[in-house]
Amino acid sequence: MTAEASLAHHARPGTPVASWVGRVIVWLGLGYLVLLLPGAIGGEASLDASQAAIYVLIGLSLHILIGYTGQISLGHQAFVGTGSLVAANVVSTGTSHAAEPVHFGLSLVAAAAAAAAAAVVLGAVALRITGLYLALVTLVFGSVAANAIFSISSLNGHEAGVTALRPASLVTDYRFYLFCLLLIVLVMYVDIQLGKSKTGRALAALQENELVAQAFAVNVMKFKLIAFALSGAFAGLAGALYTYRVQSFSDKNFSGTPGFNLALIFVVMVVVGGLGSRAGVVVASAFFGLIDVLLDLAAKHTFMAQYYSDHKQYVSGLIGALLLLQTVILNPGGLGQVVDPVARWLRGGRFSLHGHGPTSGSRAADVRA
Amino acid sequence: MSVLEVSDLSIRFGGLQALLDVTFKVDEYEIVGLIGPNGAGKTTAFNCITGFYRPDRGHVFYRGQDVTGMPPHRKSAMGFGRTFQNVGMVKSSTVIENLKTAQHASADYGVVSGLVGTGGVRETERRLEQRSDALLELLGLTDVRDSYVGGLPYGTLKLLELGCALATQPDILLLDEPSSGMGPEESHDLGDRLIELRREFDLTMLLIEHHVPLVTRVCDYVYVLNFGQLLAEGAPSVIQTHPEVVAAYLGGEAADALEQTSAPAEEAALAAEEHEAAGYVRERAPAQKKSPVKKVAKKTTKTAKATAKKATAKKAVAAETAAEES
Amino acid sequence: MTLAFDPTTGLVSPLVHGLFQGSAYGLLGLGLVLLYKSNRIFNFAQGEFAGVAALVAYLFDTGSKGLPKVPYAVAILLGVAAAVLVALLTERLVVRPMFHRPRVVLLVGTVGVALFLIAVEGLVYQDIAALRPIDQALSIDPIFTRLDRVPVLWSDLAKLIMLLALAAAAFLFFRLSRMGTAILAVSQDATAARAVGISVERTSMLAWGLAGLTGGIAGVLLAVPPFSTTPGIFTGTILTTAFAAAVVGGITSLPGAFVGGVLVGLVQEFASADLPLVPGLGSIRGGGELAVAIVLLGILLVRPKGLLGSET
Repeated sequence: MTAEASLAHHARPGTPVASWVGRVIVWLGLGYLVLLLPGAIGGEASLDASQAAIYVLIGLSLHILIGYTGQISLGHQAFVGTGSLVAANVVSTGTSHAAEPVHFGLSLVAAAAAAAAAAVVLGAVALRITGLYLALVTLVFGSVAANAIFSISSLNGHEAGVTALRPASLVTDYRFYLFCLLLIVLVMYVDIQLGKSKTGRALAALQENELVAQAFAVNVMKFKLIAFALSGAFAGLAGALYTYRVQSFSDKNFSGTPGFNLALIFVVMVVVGGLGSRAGVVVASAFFGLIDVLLDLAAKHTFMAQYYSDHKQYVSGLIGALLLLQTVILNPGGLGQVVDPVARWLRGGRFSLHGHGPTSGSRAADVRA
Repeated sequence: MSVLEVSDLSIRFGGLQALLDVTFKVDEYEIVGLIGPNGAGKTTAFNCITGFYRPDRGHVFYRGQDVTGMPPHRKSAMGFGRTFQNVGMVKSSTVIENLKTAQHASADYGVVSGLVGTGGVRETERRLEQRSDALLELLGLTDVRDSYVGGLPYGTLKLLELGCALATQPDILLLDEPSSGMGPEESHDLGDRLIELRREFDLTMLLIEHHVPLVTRVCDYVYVLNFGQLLAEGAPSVIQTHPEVVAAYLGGEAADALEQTSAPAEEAALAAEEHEAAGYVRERAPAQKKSPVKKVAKKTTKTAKATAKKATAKKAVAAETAAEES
Repeated sequence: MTLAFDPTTGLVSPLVHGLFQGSAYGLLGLGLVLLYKSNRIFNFAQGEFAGVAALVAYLFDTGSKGLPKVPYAVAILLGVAAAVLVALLTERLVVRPMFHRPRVVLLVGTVGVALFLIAVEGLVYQDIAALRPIDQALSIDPIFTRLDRVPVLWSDLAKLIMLLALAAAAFLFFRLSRMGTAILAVSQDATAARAVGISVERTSMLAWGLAGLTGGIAGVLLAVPPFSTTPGIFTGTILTTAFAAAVVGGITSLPGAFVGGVLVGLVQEFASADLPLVPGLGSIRGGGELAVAIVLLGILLVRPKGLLGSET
């Protein structure tokens, strides 16, 4: 269905009852897709879905930096990795015992706190260095953190990895997935409150013009650091889940080329989702979390199956690159331009592709950094 | 005690002495003008006062407290409201959002409770919104409440910016060329508006301005900057005809323009009456009408700036006053 | 635990290795400086310009993937030409439509180009593309000389010489040629440059073409064993350090690209031992990287324009 067609459809004065029936159907469909389907499919589906959930958390985290404050971070894998490393070492179960619920909870908190602290360090640098130089510093920061700090042998299980079993109550993958969803709800709640409170307004002001922000009594330094801390905390939380998903931490996931690729994917999913659009970022992040699974499904029964399985990472890489390029060149509002109107409609608003945002998308994606 | 006092303010950018020993003050409930030709250092002085620049030398006092090195956001919180030459607002946000952002200092909840969304936060947010709506109503801008600032016409923006500055709950309002980009009609209305706002909010104002008629109409006292130094000061009627000011500020040919713009003398008188009607009966306003020369003389000696230049200035002022009185 | 400092060869070994590794950073850094100087852009795709050149040269040299096998020199030229072509396409299709957007968004655009090129390289050929070094092509002894028993390879020497030659040539180009001056004029003030009759489009194309050229040359020089050239390897392993080197040397300075590259190469080599940590914590890898990061941060905080740069 094209955008125009749907617009024409909803522009007609439909009965309110009919449109609410439509909304309920879509809500139920979404609910089934997100809540029940992974459990219903079984097999690896819940693990795959929790990967998507973790990417959503990371997307929301990075969106705070890029979308709210205009600071680009090309080293976000370092914060995720920090959370992953800390969680694994705090709970450090060994291979035989499930984690105590208390330790498990503690490891999540510690992961968030450690990653937040790391992010504040980077944020302090960002107070002095801006723009392209900051982008470079985040890039170097990410790779140094991953390659040097995660390589401390007593922290990465002497290269063998640190085992971190989930607590007994989350031992099935489906339950773990539901737990991931719970954390997403939590993070999204905080994210929404952020937007509604003075912090969100302060960030919007300082992203656009620090002088104006200061004239409005906003302490620019403080709120930049708060943004970094919050982004880091969410990334750390995602990192802890990253550990518990596969029940071990390995520094290899975050260092070298894999780590570098992660950092780029994170940026890609936020930009493709659309800066300033929470719903767009969520959808895009989930998509990139699932891209390999989706491609596997798509390629399985075609004549391309063999070629695809030989070139897996490049196929998904190509799709990511093309999506990114078409977003930055042609469609700066990103996926949000399509997703936001749907999300608005689902919340009971009128469906309209126009009329929201200043010249829709002109501000989005204009990272000032 | 003056609301704002600036003493011996000096700042240098590389080879340019942008300000040299600039001293002036703004008393309670006064509207003081700071005028001067382009590049005279008006905005630089402004930025030193608001904390965006740190002066090399000199002090800024706010109600007797030395606030020279204080960062701008703290000054804003303590009562310095300001506007910008090219409209300082968050263009990607809506009007109401901007007004709420401007009340940052009055949002007295902590960052964390803001993120949790406690009842107190909702209460505060409601209060901010009510205040914003009240301001919009006062300025007659209620119908743009939910528009994005980026798309609004310039005149509306100028007015809105004033609204945002008011939303910061200023004690002293610093306006950087509020009438820039306005026609004579609009800037006349602006003058009315400023006087009205002063009464409404019990404000003190410092005004940087190019537009002479506006200064003449609303200011109680005027300082003239030239090449980073104070050239003259006095009541608007005095400054207006001050030969050196006319020469420095407008150049030869523009003197006519000045004459022209200030022609309606009765208007100035009217404005003065307005001041009085507004309850503005403190020492300087009457002085403005009665004997500005004494005032100027006193100030000049006090600030020890009685250079040869000043002497001529004083003479000219005296002559002018004599003419007026006769 | 490996030691960079080998007592049998003294300081010679890290010096030699650092110098040649540094010239690799310098070669990539040269293109970064060219584009920053002319367009105020951080080109994230610079590493893959090299990657494309290396791959194309390799495919033609070996006659793989149904391509005709051509003489070594021709293969090298084709590789470099491919990099120039890719750079020009990048300018036309990605940079020009986004020219008025914030620089950081342009950076994200070039990230997209890099990811695209990596994917295409991988879809075409994902194994190691080990290009023959020049000594093999000429069938001569790979070792040029030995310094205190440390071998100095022809292929390493070629990097250093080429880096010096390119840096000098580019330096002279900007100093002496009309086109070079025009590029600088555009970077200072595009509107004013247009007003005096300089074509902004043409200078931009020229700058990107030159960046492609230096990137391509870097690619064919660097993609020789023992470096195992796989898709994305230049972006993943060299580009970040090359950026750091360019900024340390001065992102607007061509000689700075050389100085920064060599300096960073040496710092990295001398610091690349595994560091023993506090007892009980074990050891930490990547001292070299840590040292480079510290140098970079120090430069950015103390002298943001870099060692030889003239502006930030």
